[in-house]
Amino acid sequence: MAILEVQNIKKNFGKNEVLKGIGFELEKGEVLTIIGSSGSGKTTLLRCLNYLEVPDYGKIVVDGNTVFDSEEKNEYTEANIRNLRLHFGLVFQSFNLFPQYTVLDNIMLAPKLKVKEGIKNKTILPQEKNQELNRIREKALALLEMVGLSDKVDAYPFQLSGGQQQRVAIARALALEPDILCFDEPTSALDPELTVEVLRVIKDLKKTGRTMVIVTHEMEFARNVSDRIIYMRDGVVEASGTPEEIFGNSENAYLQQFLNSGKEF
Amino acid sequence: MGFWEVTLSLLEGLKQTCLIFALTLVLALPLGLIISFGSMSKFKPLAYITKVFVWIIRGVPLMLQVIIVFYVPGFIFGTPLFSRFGSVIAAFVINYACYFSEIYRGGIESISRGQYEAGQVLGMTKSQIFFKIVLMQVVKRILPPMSNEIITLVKDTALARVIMVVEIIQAAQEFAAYGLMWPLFYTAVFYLIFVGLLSLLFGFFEKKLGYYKT
Repeated sequence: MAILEVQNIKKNFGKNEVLKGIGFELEKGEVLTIIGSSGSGKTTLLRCLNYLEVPDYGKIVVDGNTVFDSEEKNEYTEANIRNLRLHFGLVFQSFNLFPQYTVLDNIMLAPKLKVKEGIKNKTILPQEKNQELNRIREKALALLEMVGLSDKVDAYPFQLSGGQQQRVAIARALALEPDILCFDEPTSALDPELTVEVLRVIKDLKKTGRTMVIVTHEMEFARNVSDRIIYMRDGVVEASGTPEEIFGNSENAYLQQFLNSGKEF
Repeated sequence: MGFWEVTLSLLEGLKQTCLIFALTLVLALPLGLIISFGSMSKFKPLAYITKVFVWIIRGVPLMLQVIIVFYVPGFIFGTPLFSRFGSVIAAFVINYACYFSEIYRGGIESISRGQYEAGQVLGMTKSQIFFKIVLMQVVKRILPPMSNEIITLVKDTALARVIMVVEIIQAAQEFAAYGLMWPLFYTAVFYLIFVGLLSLLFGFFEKKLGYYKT
């Protein structure tokens, strides 16, 4: 069964139709890449999955649980959305680390707040608190090791390169154990050599069977890492398929043009 | 009239100066935050009214506001609403709260949306985002303009004498009746020490928050 089903998502900003009925499915452990020109709605789609935008229409199902249905919009209160969005993690183009916290605290902040809430709601016993906090710390350190930044535990974000910051951001998103990790142009703000270190981490994540949705302009990377690629144009899925199908596609003129646009120079 | 006699008299005036300064600060700092929330409100009429209010308060001289608060209720109700000292505090608090509110607003709006969104996708509540992520960054950003404004407040306290509240300048002025001018110039020493101590304090805070950059 698909871990993620997205059905007929529509989203308008005023009179501007950004998403005109997007649908796709994703199997557990698959990597889906979304490509397309700027303004095609890729980022908006990703933001809809993370509740940073509320779709006007459509349905999103994760692992058999409906996490969004436009027919039942009233059910999405703030508290509700907070729990539902934890099915997804999001890594931003501009990293958005918290500048006043160390690398380790950036990763532990949200999980720590969850423990605090758990104690308040009596889902976690007070005597379990230290044990929980230790678990969070161990987990954060393990994640930092995975992204190759064990030596930066106590550094502040401004002391890190963009690539290092983005790897911390990936660790931070993983600390909450999302079912699906989303990336919004994770390397667009990075130099080529820093891009490589971030893409390497994403590739490693694929090996561990992590389900991911990636919006990217790195075509070679999309070809190598994806199980499936969606090409979006003007708010619709213009073409989708395996990397071979997309890059070998010679029927869709728009896709052809898009893929060739980078080769001009 | 000797040096010590004058000094003691000025210190008596300084007490009043400090009281106006401290009370204004304690009351205007939180009130400014409330006003800034008003001016940033998504409910447009509230934002509009708040902005007009801030425009009026910032657009009229503080001296005039002190006079208005003290005299105008008397014209309307036949009896003053506040004592002389109370009028000074009321006018100062409202005036400074408006200035502070603009500094707060600038600070809060300068925090990028990405910081809020990062908190949101990590499942934080609005208040967790404000207190754990945004607030400290805002404090760091507004510290320099706030210290500026607070130093101005020290010297604005001299406006209290317009309705005969005896602060340090007024205390010195009273010696002029005896032909003594130097106490008036002497007050500058007190202001300089006061502002000097404040500058050291703000410098300390800025250093404390200087451990990270945005």
